[in-house]
Amino acid sequence: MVVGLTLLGFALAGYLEALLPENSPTWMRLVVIFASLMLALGLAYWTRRTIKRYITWPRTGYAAFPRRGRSWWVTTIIARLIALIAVVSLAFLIRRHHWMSMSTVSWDLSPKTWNPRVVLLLVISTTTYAIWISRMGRRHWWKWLVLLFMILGVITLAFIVPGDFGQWARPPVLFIALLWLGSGAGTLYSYVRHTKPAIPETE
Amino acid sequence: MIVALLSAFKECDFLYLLHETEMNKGNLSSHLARLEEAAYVEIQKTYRGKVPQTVLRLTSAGRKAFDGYRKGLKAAF
Repeated sequence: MVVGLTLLGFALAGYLEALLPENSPTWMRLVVIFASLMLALGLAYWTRRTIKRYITWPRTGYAAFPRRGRSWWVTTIIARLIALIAVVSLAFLIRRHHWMSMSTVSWDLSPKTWNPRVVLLLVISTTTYAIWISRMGRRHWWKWLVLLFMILGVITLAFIVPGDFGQWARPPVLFIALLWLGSGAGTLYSYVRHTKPAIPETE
Repeated sequence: MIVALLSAFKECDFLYLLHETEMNKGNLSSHLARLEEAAYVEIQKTYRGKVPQTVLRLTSAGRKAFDGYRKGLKAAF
């Protein structure tokens, strides 16, 4: 559900940004995108805390991990800085060599031309979900159906939705976000139905 | 087993230990009472909303004792 809410934030950011007039300044677009993402991430954080506090902990008990030490923080910050530098360098490289630029990618959405961004979106989202359900959702066989619908839905949306990258990327992101949310809600319902909270302590 | 479990966490509650150790309430309570007497475990009775909750933490003496036990085991093997 948290992943679904985060993706919903991205979808919301895309749709709200599209509502702005074409000549809107860049800062306004950034504010809209940032506000949508913060709203979605805040909601995801609150949802996770609420579920843990009122559903999980009464059933499994409460446990808090110790605060991480300095060495963990140093390692994490360095790793994230390296990842950021790698991504920025890749972006500059792509821009410099005009890889995947608007003029070189074909926008013919017929099945004979595979748009690389469609393929990339499909591969990333379905692979992530497939890995997740194979590790965590083995008991919930219906999640494989969700994966199948995700693949079929993204392919369908990618081939029938007209317009530029910004326009046709939004429906698949929204579709995947709603799928994740639905899948999470189904898992939560199944968990609540099959478990009971413990009787309050009488010691 | 109780000290080993508590060493992995900053704190946990009685219900969590009950699930993990698979002991009954009386058994677990008596073990915890002995650990508290030895000043290895700190027991705090509080509330989560309106529900009573017993929160347990390993003291520094408890952690030291467990570390010593682990080192002894490692040396033995």
